[in-house]
Amino acid sequence: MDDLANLITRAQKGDHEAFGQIYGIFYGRIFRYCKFNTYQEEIAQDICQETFLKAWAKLPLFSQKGGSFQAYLFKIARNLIIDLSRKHKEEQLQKHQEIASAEDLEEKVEKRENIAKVQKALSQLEELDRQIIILNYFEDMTGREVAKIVGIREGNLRVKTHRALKKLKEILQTI
Amino acid sequence: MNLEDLKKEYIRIKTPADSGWTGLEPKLTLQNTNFAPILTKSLTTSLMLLLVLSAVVGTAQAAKPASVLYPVKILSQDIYAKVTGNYEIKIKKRTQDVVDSQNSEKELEKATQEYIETISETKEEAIKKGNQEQFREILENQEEKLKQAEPQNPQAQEKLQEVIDQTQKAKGEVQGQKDDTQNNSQNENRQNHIPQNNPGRGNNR
Repeated sequence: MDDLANLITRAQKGDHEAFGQIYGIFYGRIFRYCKFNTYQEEIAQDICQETFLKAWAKLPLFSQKGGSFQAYLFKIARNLIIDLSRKHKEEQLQKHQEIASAEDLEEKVEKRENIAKVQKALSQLEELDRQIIILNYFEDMTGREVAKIVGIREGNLRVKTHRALKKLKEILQTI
Repeated sequence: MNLEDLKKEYIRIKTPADSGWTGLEPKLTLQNTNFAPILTKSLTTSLMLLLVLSAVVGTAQAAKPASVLYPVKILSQDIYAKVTGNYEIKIKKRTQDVVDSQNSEKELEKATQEYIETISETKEEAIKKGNQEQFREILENQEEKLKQAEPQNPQAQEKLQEVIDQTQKAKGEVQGQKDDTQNNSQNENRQNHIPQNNPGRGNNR
């Protein structure tokens, strides 16, 4: 398999096969990210597909010097998730709560209360704080990549991460 | 708080068996690689650059000698003179700079230097194009203007005199050049005419 930079260059010239390989590399991670944020497999799948379609359409504008490709993809995915949550804000919130409650019950049985609590607390964080934690701690991205995806300065990110963790801790105490 | 455990849960999220690539690929062919954004981006950048450049050049027109933007002013007027072939405006502006800079030693020094350089450059150009007479007239007007300017201090008087001297010198050189050119063409004409008349004479002898 070609290296990523080469695949991107080929895809930028319109090579579907190269883009297919890129899709194979990132699909799992983008889907997981969408699923974790939307709680629904079908919606996650739709956003995931839309992410790659947008990435393809804007590919000629992507500069490999400007940042990593995974940051480019995650940024598109995040924007789509935001758009979706704006459209169905109330509906989503309700679903989140239902899922969290269902998981509560299940996790009590499985003795995984702690995870459910954190997940619930995480869903109560503001969107930006939640993304910072997911990308930083779950996706193991660099500060630079996270900053690029959420659209803030790298220096500011450290402060925001610290605050997000503090808020999460506070929410956890109330649950 | 156990983020590590939640991370394990996160990583455990399963992807569907069908990645959906087969359904997505045909849509890629429909999705034209859109070059419009690239064009828009380039146009916007060019427009922004043009605006910034225009603003800098515009601001530079009011720049005084020895200020940071003064070279921009000189350059823009040089370009204008080159494009239009009209160097009169360039000389007039340099004269005005000298007259207006009398109160600052540094500005006057720079303005004098620029005036002398401009005269020297435009003189060469005038000679090249055969516009000596027009150039001499421009210099005469400037000399008059410089003489009319009332020196506001001894240093200004000295500099004004230096500028007038240089103007007169350039005027003289152009006049001399013109005379030389005229003499040369007359000589050439003579030489051209002599051989036509001489064969007859030679033959007669």
